[in-house]
Amino acid sequence: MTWDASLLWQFDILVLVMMVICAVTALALQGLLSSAIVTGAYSFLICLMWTHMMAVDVAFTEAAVGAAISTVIFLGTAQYINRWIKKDPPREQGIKQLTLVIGVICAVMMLSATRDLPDWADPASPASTHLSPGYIEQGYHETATPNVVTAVLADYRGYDTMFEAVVVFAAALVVMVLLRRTSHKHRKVLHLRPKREGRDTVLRGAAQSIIPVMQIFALYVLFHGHYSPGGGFQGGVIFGASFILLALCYNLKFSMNRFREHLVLWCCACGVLLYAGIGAACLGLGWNFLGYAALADLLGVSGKMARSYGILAVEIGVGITVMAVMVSLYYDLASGGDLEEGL
Amino acid sequence: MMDHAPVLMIVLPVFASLALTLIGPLGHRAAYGLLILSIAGSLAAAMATLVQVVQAGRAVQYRMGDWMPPMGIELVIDHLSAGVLVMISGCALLTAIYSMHTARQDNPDRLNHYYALFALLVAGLMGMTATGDVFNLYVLLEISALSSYGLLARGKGKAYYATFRYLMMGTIGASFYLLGVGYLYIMTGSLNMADLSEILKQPELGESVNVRIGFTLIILGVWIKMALFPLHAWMPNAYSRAGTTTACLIAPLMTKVSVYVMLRIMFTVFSADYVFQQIAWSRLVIYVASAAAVLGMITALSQRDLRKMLTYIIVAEIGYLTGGAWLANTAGYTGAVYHILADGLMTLCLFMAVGAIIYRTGVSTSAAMEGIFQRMPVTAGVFLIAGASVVGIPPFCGFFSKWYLLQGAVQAGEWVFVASLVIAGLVAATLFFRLLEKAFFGRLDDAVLETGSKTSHTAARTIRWNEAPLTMLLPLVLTGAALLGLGIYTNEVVRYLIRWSVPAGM
Amino acid sequence: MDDLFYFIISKYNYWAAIILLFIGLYGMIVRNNLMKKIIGMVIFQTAILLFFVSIGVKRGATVPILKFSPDKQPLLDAAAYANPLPHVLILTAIVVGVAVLGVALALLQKIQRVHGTIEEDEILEDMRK
Repeated sequence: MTWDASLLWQFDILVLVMMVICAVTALALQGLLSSAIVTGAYSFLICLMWTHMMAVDVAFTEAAVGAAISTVIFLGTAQYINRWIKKDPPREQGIKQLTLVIGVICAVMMLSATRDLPDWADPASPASTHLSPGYIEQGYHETATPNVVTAVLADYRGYDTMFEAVVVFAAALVVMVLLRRTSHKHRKVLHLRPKREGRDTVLRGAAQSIIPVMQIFALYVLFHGHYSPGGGFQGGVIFGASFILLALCYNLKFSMNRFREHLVLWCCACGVLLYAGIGAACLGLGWNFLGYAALADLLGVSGKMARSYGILAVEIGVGITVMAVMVSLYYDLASGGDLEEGL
Repeated sequence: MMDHAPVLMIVLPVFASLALTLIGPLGHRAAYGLLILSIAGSLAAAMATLVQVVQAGRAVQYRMGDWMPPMGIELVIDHLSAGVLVMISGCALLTAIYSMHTARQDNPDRLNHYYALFALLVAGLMGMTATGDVFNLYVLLEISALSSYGLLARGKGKAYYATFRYLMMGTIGASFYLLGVGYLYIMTGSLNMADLSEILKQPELGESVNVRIGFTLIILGVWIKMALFPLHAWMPNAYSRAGTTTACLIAPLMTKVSVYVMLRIMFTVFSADYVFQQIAWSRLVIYVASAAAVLGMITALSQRDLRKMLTYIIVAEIGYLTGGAWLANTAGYTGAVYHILADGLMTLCLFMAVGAIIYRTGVSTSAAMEGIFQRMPVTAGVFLIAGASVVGIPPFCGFFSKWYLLQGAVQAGEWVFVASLVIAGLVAATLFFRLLEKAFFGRLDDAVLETGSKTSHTAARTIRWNEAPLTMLLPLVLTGAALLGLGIYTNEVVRYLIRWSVPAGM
Repeated sequence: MDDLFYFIISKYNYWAAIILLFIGLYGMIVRNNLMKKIIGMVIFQTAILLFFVSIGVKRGATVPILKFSPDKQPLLDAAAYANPLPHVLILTAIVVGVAVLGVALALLQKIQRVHGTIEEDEILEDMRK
């Protein structure tokens, strides 16, 4: 029963308590803008927690997706809705209390059952001994990729990741189909969005110097994903965020002149097509779907290097899709679908 | 290519949806053709796999990326999933053919994107059925869920709120499933179904309260997804406000695939012994299922809107399916699995027939049925077949599933379930008899005719042949024939497919 | 006393996840405002992700990126690296979460346009009309 002091439980508990406070505040606040901001803070706290749990890839993704993009699309939506909420109506009180009671009972049951769970951070728990040593010990020999998370993500469980790219593609498609509906009558539109007339030199100057760096960093994250935290998702989200920043600092039209909505949609589909196409190519070469080792003869390298290149190629596919989808979500949600003016 | 059939049937629709997005508005005929082509390919692959499975007498496995199973993801298609896969792709193909006119009517713009989502939904459902990995199932569940939100929200104005509620409930269901998977993972360290079931045989895991919590959470999540009785509130509005094609695609398939997932979790990941001996609440499920069957049918009886009525019939059918699965004997299990296939076809048939009637009359209440036999005899005939099947009249497949379910219920001594099956059957008979009475003897001058408003009173009185277009009739008649065919070949289906998948310990 | 201390610090992560889970669920089911429901959904989902990532932690282990010895050989000691599998699963789940969030917000904008409000009781009233 020794406890490794390096895990710093005091820090963890502090962060977790702050997370609970943020969660309650986000749900309790009356103003929707402030709730959206508090939700962003909640995401940052969870990033901190995950970094501390050595899940750097996950923390990276959450910082880019949860804290940045989610907050932006929350704020984008807040332009089109009533920003102040009413108090919950009294007739709901009964149901509310009932839900509370059932919830508390379930929570107490689950909390008391944690006694039987393997201890937190126990190296001998089933999760740490059954499959994961295999990935860590064989992953490098089989895929030549030091970042085990990348190897598992894009190769061992590459089929999952392909469908993950399909999920974001589907989301972009659904949002577009929903909001850009030409025949719809705008019955009760709220127009709270600001008019951008004045030129804000400071913002634009900052954007001019930040955006190129961001894009280079995004490419680095994508291409260096074999060796360091990062990969297609993170790189794609950062690249997409650079266009969103452009739209925020200038205006939506300015960003759309550089990255047109047709091209965005085209990129969404092309990324997935690249991924699935590589899978199908492996199938055509006589291996199973997504068996990148099939590419060895084509590339003139060994099987494990072929897997490494295969991982890189599908990560690029994921990067393109995710980048385009983030931009597409921003274009649609921040402009309410008319693509005239954003946040 | 035969070896790759398991993956082809999933990725073909994905490629179709990408192509539909990329080639842009090439015109609706190109989009329609592409969709049908891809789903037909999917169906062919599913049939090939079915033949392979039946001939070999064991499950077909497919390793993604050539990785060995517990490390990589594998597809496992056994007798149970092969049948369900053919049912899914078959129903989707029929709906795709049927969609020629209705999809264009419901989607004046962005038809190709609508079809892209259609294909994605099919891919998601096929993938859920074929996969042998519990986390992969979650990802595909979310694909089918996301695309169904998009499709359902294409309905009329009130569809948005209904879809939003569906989204909330769907997310809760999927998240419960994911949390349950987390509990299983923490206790076993594995995600592969076969591997999990091996590990879960250890006696100390059988006793573990956390494994029980994991099982409960997964089943609860799946119940929300399949709209079992007290958790069904999201479904009727979401389905009845959707466009015709959407309803025909989603109503038969989404809930049935969720039932399939429930069976997979209960009997493949866990075992019959575990579910019926270790889980304290498993005896109570049969009462929930009985309540679902009876209350679902009675609520259906009180609906005026045709599609809402059909949705409540689904609620009742889900009660039958759940009851059959939890009867804990071979007959009940056979009935439940057979009913997945039968009910998929019955629901498809009913929704297609009602869709055709709504397409021609423009009315969605039961008034649309007035005099339908004179105006749309083929549609009405198929509707009669589907109704007879739901009620459970012999040569049609609905009878045989009821027969097995009743047999199982009697063997298990679950008289409540027996009573609920009988009562629900009687209520269904009343319901369809009432509709058919209108359809046969409905007064034509009360009937709402599409052309009737222009013509004089006497013109409306004459019998007007106004059958649905051929692209709608053909799949409708095929489905009706399939109902009959499945009924006639019940013995073969049970012997070659279902017997093989009966879990050990029943 | 030591046992109690050990018990607390070996479980607090799961407790936090479960508490956040129910806070989120409460927001999703009980709050009347649809935007609040969406925020509840975000909290609910991240609680599950927190639970998953907690599974991957190992005492004395570092980030799952292989280290190399000076002669370029990877150090392949499984105990030295955190479990990568939950990280992979959660990467997928985060992306699924943002996809669902995007669709939910799009639906919210449509609801506002059609019904003129995002309060659940007012929407139900509007639908009854």
